Amino acid sequence: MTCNEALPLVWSYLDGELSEAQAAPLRKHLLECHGCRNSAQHGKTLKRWFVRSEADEIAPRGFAARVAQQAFAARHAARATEERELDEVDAPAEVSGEREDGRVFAFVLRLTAIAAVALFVLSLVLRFQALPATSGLRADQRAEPTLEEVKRGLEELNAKEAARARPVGHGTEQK
Amino acid sequence: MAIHAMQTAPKEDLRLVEESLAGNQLAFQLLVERYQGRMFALARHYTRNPSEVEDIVQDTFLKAFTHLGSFERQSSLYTWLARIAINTALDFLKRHGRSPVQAVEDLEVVQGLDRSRPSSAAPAPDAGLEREEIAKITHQVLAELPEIFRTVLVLREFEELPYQEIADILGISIGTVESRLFRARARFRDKLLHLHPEFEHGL
Repeated sequence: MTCNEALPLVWSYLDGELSEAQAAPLRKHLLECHGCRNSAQHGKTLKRWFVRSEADEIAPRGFAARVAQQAFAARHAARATEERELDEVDAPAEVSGEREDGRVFAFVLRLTAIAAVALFVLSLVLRFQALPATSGLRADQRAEPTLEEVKRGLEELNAKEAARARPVGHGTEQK
Repeated sequence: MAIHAMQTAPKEDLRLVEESLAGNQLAFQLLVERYQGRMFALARHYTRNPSEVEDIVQDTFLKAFTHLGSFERQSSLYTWLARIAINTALDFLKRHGRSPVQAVEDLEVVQGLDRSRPSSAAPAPDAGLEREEIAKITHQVLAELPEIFRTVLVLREFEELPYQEIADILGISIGTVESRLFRARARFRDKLLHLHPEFEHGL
C-alpha cells in the first residue's frame, strides 16, 4: 500500500468503518511509514477532545412522567374531538380503519333494528289474520251487547209475555 | 463508554413502543426515561438555555409519540429519535430568529481541502484538564461551527454512530458523511487553535 492509498483511509480506520480486509494492509503500512503513522496519531489526538459530558445528559426531575402525561392528554383530547366530529357530520370518504369499523357496526345495528320492527309488525298482522279462522267462538265478539240490542231483547220478552197473558185475561173476562 | 450504535431496536424498546401504542402511559414514560439523557445531550449542542433545551427535548418526545405508529421496527429507536431531535432543534433555532450558521460546502471544495492529507498536527487537551473542562472547551468550539459540521461531529464523536446511521439521520449518502466529517474535523481543529492557541503544542 502506498501513502496515497493509505491516507484517505485513515479517518475511516480511526472511526472503525473499515472491514478487516481493508484495515490489515493499512495497519501494515502505518507500521512501516512514519509520515502516515503521524497523521493517524494526529487524528487520534483530535478525537480526544470529544468526551461526553455527564452533566449534559442530566434531565430535570420528573421530566419523563410529565412528557408521558402530556402526550396522553393530547391523545385523549384528539380522540374526543374525533368522536364529536363523527357524531356531527358524516365521516368523510377517506377514513381510518377504526372509523370504517365503527360505521359498519352502526350500519349493522340499524339493520338489526329495522328487522326487529318488521318482525313485530308481521307478527301482529299474522295474529289478526288468524283470529277469524279459529272457530265460531270469536274472542272479539265477547263485547257487551249494544243498547239497541238490549232494548230489542226486552221488547221481544215483553211481547212474548203479553202474548201469553192475553188469552188468560181474555178468557176470564169472557166468563 | 457504551456502544450506542445499533441496527435494530432492542426487544425492550419494541415492547415499550407496542405498549405505548396500546395506550399504556407508563410504558411511554419508561421509553422517555431510557432516551432522555442522550436527547438532552444532543439538544444542548444547539442551545445552552436550560428551558429551551427542555422545550426541544419535550417536543421531540411528543412528536415521537404522535408518530410512534410509523416507527419502523427494524430500525434503531435512537436513530429515529435523534433525527426528530435534530430537526426539532433546527426548527426551534429558526423560529427564534437564531438561524444556525450555514456552511457553503461547495466553496470549500473549490478551496481545495485535500482529502489525501487527513490529519495535520492536532492540538491535544492538557493531561491536567478534567473531563468536564475538556467537554466545555469542545462545546464552545462546536458552537462556532456551521450547523452541518457541528451535527455530523456530534453524531460521530459523541454518539459514536456508524457512517450509515449518520447518513440515515441526515438523509445524505455515506460519501457525503465522510467528506463532511473530514471538513468538519479540519474546521474544528482550526477553530480550536484560534480560540485556544495555548493547546497548539499540546502533543
